[in-house]
Amino acid sequence: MSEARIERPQVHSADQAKAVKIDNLKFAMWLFLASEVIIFTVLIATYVVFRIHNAEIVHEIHEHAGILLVSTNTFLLLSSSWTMVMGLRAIQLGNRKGLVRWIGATAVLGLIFVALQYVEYNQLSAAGVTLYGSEFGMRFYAPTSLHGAHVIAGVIWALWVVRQGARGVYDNGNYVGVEIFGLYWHFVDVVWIVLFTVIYLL
Amino acid sequence: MTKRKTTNEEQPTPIDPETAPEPLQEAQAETVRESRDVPAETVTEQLSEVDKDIVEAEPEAVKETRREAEAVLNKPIEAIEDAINEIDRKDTPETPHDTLSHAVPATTVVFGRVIPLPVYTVVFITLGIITLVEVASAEIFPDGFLLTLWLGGLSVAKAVLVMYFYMHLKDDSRIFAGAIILPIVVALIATLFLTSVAPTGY
Repeated sequence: MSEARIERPQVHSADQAKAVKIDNLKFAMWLFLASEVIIFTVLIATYVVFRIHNAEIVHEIHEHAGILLVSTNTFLLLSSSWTMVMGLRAIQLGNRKGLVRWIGATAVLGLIFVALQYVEYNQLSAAGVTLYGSEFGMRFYAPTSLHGAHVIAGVIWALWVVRQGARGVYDNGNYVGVEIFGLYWHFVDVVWIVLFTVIYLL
Repeated sequence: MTKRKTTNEEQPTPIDPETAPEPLQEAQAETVRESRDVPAETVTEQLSEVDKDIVEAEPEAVKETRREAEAVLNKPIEAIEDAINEIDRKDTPETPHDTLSHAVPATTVVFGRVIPLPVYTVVFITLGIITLVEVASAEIFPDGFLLTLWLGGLSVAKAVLVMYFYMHLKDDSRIFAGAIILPIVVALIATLFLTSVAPTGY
């Protein structure tokens, strides 16, 4: 038998230990997002199957609801992803005020998104699209409200990042907290990109 | 590697020297790695009288042949070990600078033309344009397979842009990409499988 040859990753310095920790944090976030993919898939797949076999019901609701409100919301969320990443760029360049402003804008855009989603839900429920009022209801509200809950969680997280930024926690050598929040926020955006196409456009 | 067990009910079967047992060192150890770490003298001391006879009776030429055979068999294992060590060496960052994302330049080169905007803004504008095209397509063209394919493709393009540029999969470890792509592929296959099931009749 040969000698054992698998080596443990060697950590030679405090700097490298910190680097490995950052790598692990980012990987943990990716694994969390992977689990989120499965949760959203269950709800989206349920909707897709309903959509395939009930095209007429979905068309009626689409015609009634219109596309303007939800398109506006989509632009808001895309804009929030842009402000998020510009906030990250600001702190990478050592601009703390920039970080606070951009991430603050992200939180505001997220809040407006949730508010408009509330308006949309009110319009739909007034038109009879409720959880139990139609077969469409639960299939529509489950994925979109779960997404909305993620946006609310993201807004709270964004406000926390703003607070930390204002207190000077982040600088151009320490911004992993901003980067990890960014991964979450962009993932929420990606989920909406899919939901927008599957639920509102098709 | 399994342990040898002897209970009161099961008496050990005498070993036939002609049908010699598994490699001696491994028989005493729980894992291959442990077997590699056990000194040969210790193993010999632990052997039964019958096993000792087998070891002593083995001619030097046979021992040599056995060692050569083991060396050949170990080659693929060693290749795998080398590959794991190489990945560890490559993917273990030296400093936090190696693992954090970095500020993108203030200009972006697109098809050879320099645009005075960071790549994040260029991606944002692209996402906005694609969304406009999506909404217009959904309003103008009739429902059908082609429209579904077109809108699905645009949606995937948007998601890829966000993940590649905003979530930094462009520069980060490919392990991160693997962690998120694997569940997405599984989710897509599962959804397609579900849509092929007839709604009634089972």
